[in-house]
Order: sequence, then C-alpha cells, then structure tokens
Amino acid sequence: MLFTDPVFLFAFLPASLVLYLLARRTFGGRAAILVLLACSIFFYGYWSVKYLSLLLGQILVNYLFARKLTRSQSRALLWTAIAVNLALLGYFKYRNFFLENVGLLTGWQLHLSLLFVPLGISFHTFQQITFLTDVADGEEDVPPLPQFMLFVIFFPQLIAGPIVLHREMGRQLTEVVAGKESTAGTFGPGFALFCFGLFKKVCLADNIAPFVDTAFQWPLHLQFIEAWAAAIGYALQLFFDFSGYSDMAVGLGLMFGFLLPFNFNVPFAATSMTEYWKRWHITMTRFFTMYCYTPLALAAHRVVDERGYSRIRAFALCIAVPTMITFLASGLWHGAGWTFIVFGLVNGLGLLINHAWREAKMPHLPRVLAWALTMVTILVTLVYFRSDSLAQAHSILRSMFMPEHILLPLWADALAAKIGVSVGFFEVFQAANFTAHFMLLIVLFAPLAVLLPNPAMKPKKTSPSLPLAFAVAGMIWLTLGLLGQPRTFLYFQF
Amino acid sequence: MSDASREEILAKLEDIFRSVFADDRIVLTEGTTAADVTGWDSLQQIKIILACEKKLGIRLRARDINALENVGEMITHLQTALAKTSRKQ
Repeated sequence: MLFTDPVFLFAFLPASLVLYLLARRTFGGRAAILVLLACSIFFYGYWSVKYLSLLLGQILVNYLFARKLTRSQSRALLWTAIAVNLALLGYFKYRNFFLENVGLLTGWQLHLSLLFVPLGISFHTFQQITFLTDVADGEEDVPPLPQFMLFVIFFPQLIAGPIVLHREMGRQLTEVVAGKESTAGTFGPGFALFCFGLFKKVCLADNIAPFVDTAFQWPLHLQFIEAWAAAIGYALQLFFDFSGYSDMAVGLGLMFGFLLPFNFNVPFAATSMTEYWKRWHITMTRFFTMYCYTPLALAAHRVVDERGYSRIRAFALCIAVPTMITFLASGLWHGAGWTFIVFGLVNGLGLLINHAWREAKMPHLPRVLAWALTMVTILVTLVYFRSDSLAQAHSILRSMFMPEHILLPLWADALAAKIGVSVGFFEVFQAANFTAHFMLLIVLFAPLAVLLPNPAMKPKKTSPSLPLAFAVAGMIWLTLGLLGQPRTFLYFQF
Repeated sequence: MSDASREEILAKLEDIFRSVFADDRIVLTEGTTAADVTGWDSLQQIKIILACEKKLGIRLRARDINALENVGEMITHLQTALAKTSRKQ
C-alpha cells in the first residue's frame, strides 16, 4: 500500500485517523496506542503477511535484548544484538551479492535463489540498532512493549524512514499514554505537508521519471546533451520522489500528533560536499555519523594526538579512513551492488577533497564555482546510483565528460547554425516533442529543487491562511488528476 | 573548575571555536547551532570536543559528541562532565 495508492488515501488513512482519535477520546491514550499499532501492523501485513511475522519477531527479539541490556549494559551483549540484526539484514539483502562475488573469485557454480528483500528492512533495522545502543549506554529506558513496537512500526516512517531516534518518539508516545498531547494544533500543518509531499511525488517526480527511464535504457546511444539531461533529470526525480515521501511521512506523523524529524534541507543548494550531506537524507547521515564516523574519527584523533604523527599521516588516519569506511557502509546500505559501493566511494572521495582543501587552508572558491563543482560531483554519484551496472554508468559518464563530439539534434539545425555547432542524429532524443517536454520539465523543476525551502523543517509554524488553503487545494486538484498510475517510491527498494 | 558557571564555560568555548575555525569574529550564544557557524561539521565537532577535553581536563565519549545539537547543550554536557571529574578526584 503506497502513500499514493487510492486504497491508502481514501480508505486506510481516514479509517485509521478516525479509529485513533475515537480511541483516544473514548478510551484514553493507552488504547489509542494499541489502535495505532494495530493499524500499522495491518499496513505492513497488507503488503506481506509472511514478512510481517519476520518484522514482529525481530521487534520481539530486540525488545528482549533491550530488557537484558538495561540490567547488564554489557558491551558483549550489545554487539551480539547488533550482530543478530545485521545478520538478518545481510541474509535478506546481501546474500546473493556475496555469493555472486565468491563465485566470481573462486569459479564455483553457485545456484542463487531469487532475492526477496522485506520492505523497509534497512530502515527499521537501523532504527532498532540505535535503540539498543542507546539502552546499552544508559541513555534510554525500555518502554512498555506496545510503545516500543509502535516506535518501530509506526506506519508513516516504517518503509523508508525518516530513521527516528527513540528519544524523539519515546517521549511523545509517553505523553499520549498520559493523555497530555492532542492533535488539534498539528493536524492542519500535517495535512498541508502531506499534500505538498504527494504533489512532489505524483506531479513532479513521476512526471519526469519516464524520460529518465528512457535515457538510462540506452546508455550506449546517449549524446553529450542527452547524457547530461539524463543525469540532471534523475537527480530531480530522486529528490522530488524521496523528499516528497519524507514530507508525506512527517505530514502523516503530524496528522496523528507526532513530530518526526525532517530528512531534507534544500540539498541542491549546497556549495560543498560536507554541506550536501548535512542537507540530503539527514536522518541516515545522522545514523552513520553517530554510529560509524564519530567513534572511528574520535579514536583516530586520540591516537594521533598521543603519537604526534605527521600532517599527512594524521589526515589519512583521522579523516580519510573514517570518511571512506563510513561512505562505503552508506553505499552498501543503499543496495547490494558494485554501483552502490562506487556511489559511496565517489561521495567519500568528494568529501576528502573538501576536507583536504580546508585543512590546507586553501582560499574559498567563488560561491557559484563551489556550487557547480558540488553539483557535478553529485551528478556523477547519482549516475552510479541509478545505473544497473558499472558498465552502464561508465558509458553515461563517458558521454558526459569525454564525448567524441558535441552535437545538436537534427531538428535544432537553425539554433546549431547560429551558435556554430554541428548537428547529428540523436537516437534517444530524436523526437523534438520528447526532448522539448523533457527539457521543459528540467527547466521548471530545477529552480524548485534549488530554491524552495522545505516546509517539513518547521511544520508546526505553518499557520492557516487563504493563500495556503488555495495552494493545498491546487496541489490536491493537480495530484488527483494524476493518481491513476502511481509509481513506487524509489527508496522503497532500500 | 567543577563549579564553573555557564558563562565561564561559554567564554572558554568561544575561545576554542575561534581557534578551531581560525576566525576571531565568532560570537557564541547558548542558542548557536551548527547551522550558524560556517564549516561546523562532524569533523570540526570532534576537534572542538578534543580541545574542550584539553582545556577543561575532562574526558568525553563519542556519544556525548553526537548528543550536542547546540552550544547550550554542549555547556550542559561539559558541566556534567566537570562535576563527574571533580567527584572522582
């Protein structure tokens, strides 16, 4: 059940809202939590009953681990719990990739069964690991089981995040149980934000997607202009798709009275790679920073401080190693494939250059140049991210950066003559109306992606007004007309 | 140092920030966040924490670094760490 599915929009969502609010008003917070839990279990079970039992089993095992960790705070037990979670993730998500590569290295003929990855496993497994770590460090108490289950399985954030920390959700759930909070002030902003996210997904991301798909289908036939349009188009599609989903998640949370963390802060306005990763998929970056980068980098800094290494060795140990390990893990988290690994490594390399530039106290680049360099790096990483194989990615990148010639399509011969460029046959962009439509979408969407602030950052400050009402009504009107064929959210595959 | 006031710690933090970011114009308040100081990222955060450890004679964990979302929270953490250190002594 996608957030864009009419079954979700017109049946599940209104029914679960009514049931939740009724339970809260009639039977109190504890009953409301149970109703919301039941709705969330139904939401996941609607997709797969088989994998619902896996999810519930994982939650129960982690709850038992957490109870034990409260008493002992043993590091061995924490590592065991983390290993169990990662083993589960590894089995479902990475076993074929691992076996394929073992087969390639050894020449063994391995018969691989079709991989079926349980929906949202990367997201909720990470969320449960953060909880276990927080409990082991004595920072979080273990709540009653229904509250813990809802913390993991709350349907707005279950499938593709945001990855919520227990300290963000636990207090809010306790307040519901105590009957303190109400949804009165948050429903309106939540609804507006949900509509905004729905609009981004259905009207923007899904509109540009067919053009991007066509371009990526013919990597060997792309001309210079086509390759750049494919990369930019995909960046816009991914941004509107995932940020649209994230806005919908935060909006849904608010409709039920819960504030979830936001995931995007105008990432394509970033003027450096470090800034980009502070703005893109923020809750995932936070996870990797907290649980991978910081412990590694802090340990390395202490060693370097103690032993007094040279600047280059210090840079390698304190910055390069933790950054590359973190981005390798982040790449692998996105998917089991070499394209994702290279996606992570190119990002890591971009960050290293960024850090090296700063550590060497090089002069600040002009803002426009810094922005352009950052965006080009991001486009390169996203070509890997979108491609099915390294060969496909390299073919597109070759057309972008090492074209044999720069041509304009035959139908643009008048323009070509004016600017002194040759024309040639374009296999992908051969139809003028296809190209004009694609270019128009890029020209319209790019400024929105670069300039539009994210309303999910301060959702409670959205106050009702006539312009907002018209904007929301307009977005609903446009969205309803396009709801017929919703595409799945890109991040659901992770 | 264990009974250091928030103002005293804020002043020390300001010195540390100016040195880490090589910018004498930095002025901190308890509400200052990473978004307010250009270049304040996870790497600079580690440098700030290590400088705090040296200046205040305390030891912090990776978790303490992660929990710090603004200067006010940082001061609270440092006060707690200072109190723990003085109890041990």
